[in-house]
Amino acid sequence: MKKVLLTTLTLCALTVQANSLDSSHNWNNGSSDAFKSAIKAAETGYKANLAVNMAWRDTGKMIKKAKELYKAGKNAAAVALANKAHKQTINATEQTALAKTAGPRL
Amino acid sequence: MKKLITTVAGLGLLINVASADVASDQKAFINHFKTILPNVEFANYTNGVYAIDQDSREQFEEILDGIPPYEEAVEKGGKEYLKFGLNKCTSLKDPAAARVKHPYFDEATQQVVTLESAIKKCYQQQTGKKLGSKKGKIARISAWISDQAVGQKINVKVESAGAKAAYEQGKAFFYAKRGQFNMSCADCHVYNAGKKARADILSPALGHTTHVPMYRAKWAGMGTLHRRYGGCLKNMRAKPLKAQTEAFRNMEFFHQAMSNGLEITADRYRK
Amino acid sequence: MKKTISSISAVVTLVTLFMMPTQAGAKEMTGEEVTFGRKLGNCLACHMIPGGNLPGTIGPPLLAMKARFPNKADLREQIWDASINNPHSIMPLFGKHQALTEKQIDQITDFIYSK
Repeated sequence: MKKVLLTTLTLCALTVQANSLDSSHNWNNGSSDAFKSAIKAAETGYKANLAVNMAWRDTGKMIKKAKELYKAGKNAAAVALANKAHKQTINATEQTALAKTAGPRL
Repeated sequence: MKKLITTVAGLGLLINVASADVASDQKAFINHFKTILPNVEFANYTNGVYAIDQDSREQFEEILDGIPPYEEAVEKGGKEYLKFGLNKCTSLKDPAAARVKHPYFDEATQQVVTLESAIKKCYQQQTGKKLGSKKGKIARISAWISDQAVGQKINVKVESAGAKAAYEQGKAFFYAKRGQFNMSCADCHVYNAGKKARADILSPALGHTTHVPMYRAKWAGMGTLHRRYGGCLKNMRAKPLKAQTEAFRNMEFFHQAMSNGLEITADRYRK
Repeated sequence: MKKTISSISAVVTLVTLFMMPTQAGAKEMTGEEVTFGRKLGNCLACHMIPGGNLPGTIGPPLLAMKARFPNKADLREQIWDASINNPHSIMPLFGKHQALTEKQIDQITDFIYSK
């Protein structure tokens, strides 16, 4: 009985954790594959934002920090941060599309 | 032959269309400010927020009546202008004319040439060294050159198809929302000019380029227009571009054109 | 005895896991602190709010919020993504752009809604 309770609680706790991470990526388990796909997505998006002068202030720093976390073996945190950086690039790309029709409303 | 005439006529038309667009853009721009700030005279926009708020205006005048904190720097800029042989470059040999001529669209390179980009180029030709773009020497020299044109009016010309394209790019940059805060330059300096962010009054974009480079209390020193652009982008949580990069030069082209007809001033103090 | 130790360690692990998501802000901040903090909501930059000093005048004063937003979720949405209501709004998209956490947005919503 106690075991069941513990397992349930653990699952709950992990769900809370997972929900606080970003969901723009496939399920992440903190594995090196998850990190590689997350960081690649972030870097690709950031590069595209930079090319059109629409990058955000902190995306580059976040990518750098995510790599450091990964090197330090903190995979889950690294994936979470890479996902957050990727999310920034998605929002910046959305702005880029809107910027095409931006003009005065006077 | 007929073809040639058509082409020439076509080009002529393009040129006229380009200038007409800038003039109508500016008319709408000025009308907007008339609507939101009915008590500010057009000529007074050179004074930015000090044309809007009486208390700030009094502080500003006190600073100007004393020894303005930029005075020494501007003087030094004049000495540096000679010391580094900037009077030997065609583009800068008449400093007053240089300030009024820039920014302009160079047909040969199809690029906007700003006063600071001309100073940088000349400096490198004369000394073989590179000059920065944001503060220090370039701001001092550019301020001194601009001081020689005090009282003359900003007169940016957008005449060719290439110039029009650069102007339109600069305009789009100015009005586009960017960064994590999703703001545009216009959000603060057009639509909300005169309102307060905390205790700071948002300055009107009209007249912005009449007093640059400027001394800012926040910087405790001088800085160029592009230094300020970078700071604004950071405030929006957008990645700042490099000063004198093409996108910034194009924006300056648009930004200065919106102040056409306003006098260049030596009162280059801002909070 | 061994069982007790393992139970204790399990509990400690669990508690830590539960606490981690909120740990970013170190000690718990109040709704007012999140709303007024210059590096957080910084709502006073643009809005007058009762109890806050030196407010800006860019946005409307945040008063009588219950009358203006009979549905509290609408107020939260305005803070989360102001572009839904007005794509030209100068207001940052605090939630959509992840400038604040979901929890911080809840705290600000609650605080503002009490005004």
